[in-house]
Amino acid sequence: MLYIIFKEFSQSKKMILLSLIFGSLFIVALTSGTEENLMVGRFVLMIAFMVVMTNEHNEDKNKGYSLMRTLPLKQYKIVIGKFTASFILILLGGLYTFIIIKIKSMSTGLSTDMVTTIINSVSTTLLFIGIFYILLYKFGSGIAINISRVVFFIVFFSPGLMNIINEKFNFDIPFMSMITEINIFNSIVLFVVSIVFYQLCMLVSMKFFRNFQNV
Amino acid sequence: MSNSILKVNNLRKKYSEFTLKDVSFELPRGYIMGLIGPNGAGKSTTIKLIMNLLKSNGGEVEIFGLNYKNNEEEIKNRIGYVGEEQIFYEDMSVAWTEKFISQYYKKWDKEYFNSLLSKFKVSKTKKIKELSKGMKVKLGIALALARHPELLILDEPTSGLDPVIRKEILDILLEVIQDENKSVLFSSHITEDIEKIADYVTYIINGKIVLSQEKENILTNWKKISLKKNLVDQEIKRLMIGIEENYFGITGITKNYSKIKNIFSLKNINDGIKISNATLDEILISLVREEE
Repeated sequence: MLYIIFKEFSQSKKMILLSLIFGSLFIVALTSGTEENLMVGRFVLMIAFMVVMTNEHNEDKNKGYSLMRTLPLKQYKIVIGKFTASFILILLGGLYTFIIIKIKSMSTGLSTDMVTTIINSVSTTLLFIGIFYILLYKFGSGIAINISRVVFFIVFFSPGLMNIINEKFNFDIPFMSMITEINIFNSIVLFVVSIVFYQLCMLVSMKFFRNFQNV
Repeated sequence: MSNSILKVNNLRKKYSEFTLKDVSFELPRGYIMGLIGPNGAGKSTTIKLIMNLLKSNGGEVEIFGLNYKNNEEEIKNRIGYVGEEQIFYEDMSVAWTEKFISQYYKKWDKEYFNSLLSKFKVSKTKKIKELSKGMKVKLGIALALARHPELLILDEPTSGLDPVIRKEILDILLEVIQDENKSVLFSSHITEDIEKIADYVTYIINGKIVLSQEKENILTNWKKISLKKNLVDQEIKRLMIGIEENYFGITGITKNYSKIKNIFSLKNINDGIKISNATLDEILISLVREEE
C-alpha cells in the first residue's frame, strides 16, 4: 500500500511542482490587495484536482489498474493507497497555502478568517475527491473526470457566484449565511465531518472496485 | 496427475457473446503446458481467471494447493505473469518500472534482472514508450523471471513477434524449466511454438477444453489419413474428424487409428491409403472444423 502512495507522488512529481509554482503566484496575486481575499483557499482544490485527475487519466491510458491487479497486493489496498495519497496531497496543499500566506503576511499577521478559509478548503476538497473516486470506480475514468470538471468549476467559483446572486438580485440563497459565516469552530466541525465522509467514500469505493475491471 | 502446481476445476465465465464452459485441467510441477486455441477461443479469459484478474461465474482455481480467497498475495508472489498486452506506465523508465514492481516481491533478484536486461539488450534508462513491442515482451519476461516464480504464466507472449525474438523467448522458457520445481503455462495460437517446448497440450475451442494430454501422446495417437474415393465408407468416416473432401478422396485426422487399421485389414485394403503423424496445427484445424 505504501508503494502505491510513493508511486502516485513519483508519477506526478512534475504536475505537483507545476501546481506549486502556479499556486504560489495564485496565492500571492490574491493576497496582494489590502483586503483579505478568501479565494486563496481554492488553491487546495486546484492542486488536488490537477494531480488526481492527471494520475487517473494516466491510469486509464496505461491500464495501470490492470498492472496493479497482477501484483501480490490485495485489491482493497490499491483503493486505500489511492485515498491515502490524495489525503496527503490535500493536507500538503493546505499546509503550503498556509506557509505562503504566513510568509506573505509576516508584517500584518495571519487572521483567523484566513486560517478557517484554508481548513474549509481542505474539507471541501476531501468531499470532492472522495466523491470523485466513487464515480471513478463505479462508472470509469471518462465519466468520472468529465463530471468532476463540471463540479470543480462550480465549486471553485461558487463563493463568487453566490455573492453576485445575493448582491445583484437580493435573493436569499438557503443556508448562505451558514456557509459564509466563518468561525474556527464551524471549520473544525466541517473538517471532522469531511474526514468521516472521505473514509465512507473509501469504503464505498472498495466495494465498487471489486467490479471495476479494465483488463 | 499428482503433485499439481495448478488445478483448474469447472471454471466458468459468461459474457454476452461468449461463454467459457466448465474448463478443467491440471499442470504438474516441473512441466510446460501449452494452451492452444484459435483467436477468441477463451485462452486469455482462462488465464485471466487463473490470475484472478476477472471474476468467474463458477468453478475453482487452486495454485500451489492454495485458493485466492485467503491467499491472493502469497499466490501472486510465487507467480510470474506476462499478459497478452504488455501493460506498463508508458511515460516512466525501465528503471522506475523495476523499482515499482520489485517492491512487491519477496524473492526479487536485482542482479538476475540486470543480467536479463543486458542479455535482451534493453536499456534501463529508456522510457517504456521508446521500446518496441518485442523489447516490451522481453522486459515483461525479465520482470516475471526476476522474482524467481514457481509458476510462469504467459499469455501469447510470442504473438506478433518476429521469428528471431520468438526463438529467443522460447529458449529462455526452456532454460527456466531446467529447474524441475518450476512450471510454465503458455498460451498461443502459434502451434509451432507449443510443439517446440510444451510437455502437455490443452486445446481450447469455443470456450471448451476439447483435448488435454501429454504432447507425446497426442503426437503418437493422432494420425492424418488420406483415402482414395473408392475406399471411403461411413464407418471409416465416423472414426475421423476434420474431414476434407477433394477430387481424389478424403483427408482427415483420427485418434482411432488402430480401429481404422483393423477395418483396412478386414477389408484387405493395402493401396490408396496415406498415413502420417498429425501435427498440433492439423489437430487444431480439424478440432475447430468439428466444433463448427
